[in-house]
Amino acid sequence: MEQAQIAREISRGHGFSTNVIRPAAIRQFERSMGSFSARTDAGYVPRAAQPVHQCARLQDDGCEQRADQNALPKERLFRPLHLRTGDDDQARRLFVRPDYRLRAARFFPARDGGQLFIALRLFDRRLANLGIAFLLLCQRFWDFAIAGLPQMLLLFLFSCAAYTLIRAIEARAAGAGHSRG
Amino acid sequence: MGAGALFGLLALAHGLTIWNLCRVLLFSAIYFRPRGRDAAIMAAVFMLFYGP
Repeated sequence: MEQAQIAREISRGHGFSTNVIRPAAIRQFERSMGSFSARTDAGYVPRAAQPVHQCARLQDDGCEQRADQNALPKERLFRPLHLRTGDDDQARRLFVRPDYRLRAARFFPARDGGQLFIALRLFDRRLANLGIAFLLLCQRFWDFAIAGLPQMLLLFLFSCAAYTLIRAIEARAAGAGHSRG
Repeated sequence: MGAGALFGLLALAHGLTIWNLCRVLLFSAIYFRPRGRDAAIMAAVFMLFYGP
């Protein structure tokens, strides 16, 4: 039961932690390891470093199979994409692999780069940098970035599309004739 | 053309983003001159990406 709880926490992105522990397990731990720390942030890893951390740990422990079983609710979100790939089993393996999670997180700074270019076009440099700094400090964006889901890819593509539109509007406003938007 | 291509990729990632494209098409049909031409180009490029 404890193993299942820990596996659920791993699949939620909380690492090797548990919300349920028996008093007997605490005594066993204290007998073999010494004092027991009840801190909830024991072994805390900053959000930004979690994809790398989890990737390394999951590969070292060989528990990709457990992560695969626990990722079933998430993969249902990708059903249309599975149909596009044509190979359902291959798509399932790709989406739950830890390095795929890391790959998804890379789109977060890429998205912020796109937003920075947009902000530089619309505002001055100081305001643009401040806005991007606040975006980078937003916890909810990091939650999505490390989830292994494609929201950051969506936002990255949307940033690029918005940037091209802004360039087209600028060209139209400058009287450059017909835009390429 | 670039915006149409990127919205096509966006729609491939999630179908709901077609609603964003609809608003952009409406805007570009009104804003850019001659009216409707750029929106038609954008819609054609979008269909090129999303259609297959």
